[in-house]
Amino acid sequence: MIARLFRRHAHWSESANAYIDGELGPSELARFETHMGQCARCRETVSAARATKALLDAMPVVRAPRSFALTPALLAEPAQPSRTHGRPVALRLAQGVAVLAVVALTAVVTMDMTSGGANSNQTLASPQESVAGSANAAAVPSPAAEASPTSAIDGVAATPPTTVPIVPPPHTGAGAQGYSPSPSPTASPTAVRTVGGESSPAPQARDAAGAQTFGAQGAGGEAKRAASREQPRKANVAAGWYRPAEIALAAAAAVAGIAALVLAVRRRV
Amino acid sequence: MLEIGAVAPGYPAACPSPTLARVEQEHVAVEEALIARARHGDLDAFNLLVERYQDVVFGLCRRLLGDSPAAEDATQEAFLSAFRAIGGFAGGNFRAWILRIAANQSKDELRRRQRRPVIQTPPQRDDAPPPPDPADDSQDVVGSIEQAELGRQLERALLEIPFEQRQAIVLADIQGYRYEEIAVIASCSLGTVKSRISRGRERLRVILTRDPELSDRFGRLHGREETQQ
Repeated sequence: MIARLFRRHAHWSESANAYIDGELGPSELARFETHMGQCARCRETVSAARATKALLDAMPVVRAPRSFALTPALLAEPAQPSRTHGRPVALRLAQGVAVLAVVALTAVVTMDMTSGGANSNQTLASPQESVAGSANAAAVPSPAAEASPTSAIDGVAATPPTTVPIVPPPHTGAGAQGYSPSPSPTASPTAVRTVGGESSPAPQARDAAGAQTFGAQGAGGEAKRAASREQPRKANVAAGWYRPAEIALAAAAAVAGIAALVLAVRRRV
Repeated sequence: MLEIGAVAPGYPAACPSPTLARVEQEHVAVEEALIARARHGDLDAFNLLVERYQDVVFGLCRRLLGDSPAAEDATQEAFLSAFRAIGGFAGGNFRAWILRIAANQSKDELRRRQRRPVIQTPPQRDDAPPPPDPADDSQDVVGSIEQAELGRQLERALLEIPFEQRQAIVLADIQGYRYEEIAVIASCSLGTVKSRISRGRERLRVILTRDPELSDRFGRLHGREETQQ
């Protein structure tokens, strides 16, 4: 209601100013004069606008202090640098960086998606393994796991789809089944424990079960285990360089793009 | 778009006298011929147009920028830009076209100043009256000094209002253009011109009533006790 009244009076205020400038058409003039007869505020507006106009009208006339005639020398000068001073370099630089970053980002993502399929699997393997490891870890204190070792073995057996690409040639025997390639320190003890059907605390269980299952393989087997543990890690690291590169390029593209946009808006081209 | 040679500021909208109408037609014909020659690169023809419009162009730049050196630069650049772009002039009101270029130059200059603030120079004195003539009576001298001081105060007040409103106010109240031509110069609608003038005058009134001296003058002109604010 108040907003409508305000808008209506803003309209009358414009009419009042047009009125003193002689810019109202015949019908508008008649309507405004009728309104002004009843509206003290509009009479006030007309009076104030007239006073302002009279003051401005009293300002001294400004004349050109010199001739602005063009000369061939003036025309030979390059187009005014001031309009474009400082801006185009920064603007073009920001736009160039944005374009380069987008191209590089596209290239990296394409490489990642096409040639890096195995890498992607390996990259993904880590969290899945962790999940598997977590599942195993969760199984440790579970009464069900204690009561039925097979359920825990099932939990371990569920991991092959994710671990196959990075698992070294399997060992024979229970130890091989129980082996989890997860770098998680909780995974191995759990696996050993479940295969061995032990329910004792983890360190002792690992020692005991290790002696039972891997004793025949000795130090060489332990070295293989360590190497096979390292292998997925290295693969993950090799695959993982894409991720920070993508993030860095996306950030560069975003920053440069925003900078270019801000510069373009400020330039009001 | 207005016709070429639309009514000059201060002149009535329609020339009542046949003689004045004929003069106006001749003026338009000469201007069209000069424009046509300038389009073919005739610098002398263009300079005749410069002479014709340099006062109004400089006056607009001066009021929009508030200082003479910058206004001179903007005026020179406006004429240079106009000469380079005259091939693209589609006909119509040449004065409005050149004033639009000048207003854009002034706006660019103001934008540059915002980016790279300059050290303020002392107030310009080009509005100051010429040295008093001993033959003049002292009343006139005092009056002209007061007038010059008033001009500077008003100029400062004008610089406080937004550029678009200032442009409309200067064109309407100082240079005496009709709303239709202001719309062409400012590249906006007639309604926008009305709105800018209305808002600009209101803002200016508020600024003027803040200054005791201007408020006093304004109150006297207002004709009522308006100075209590």
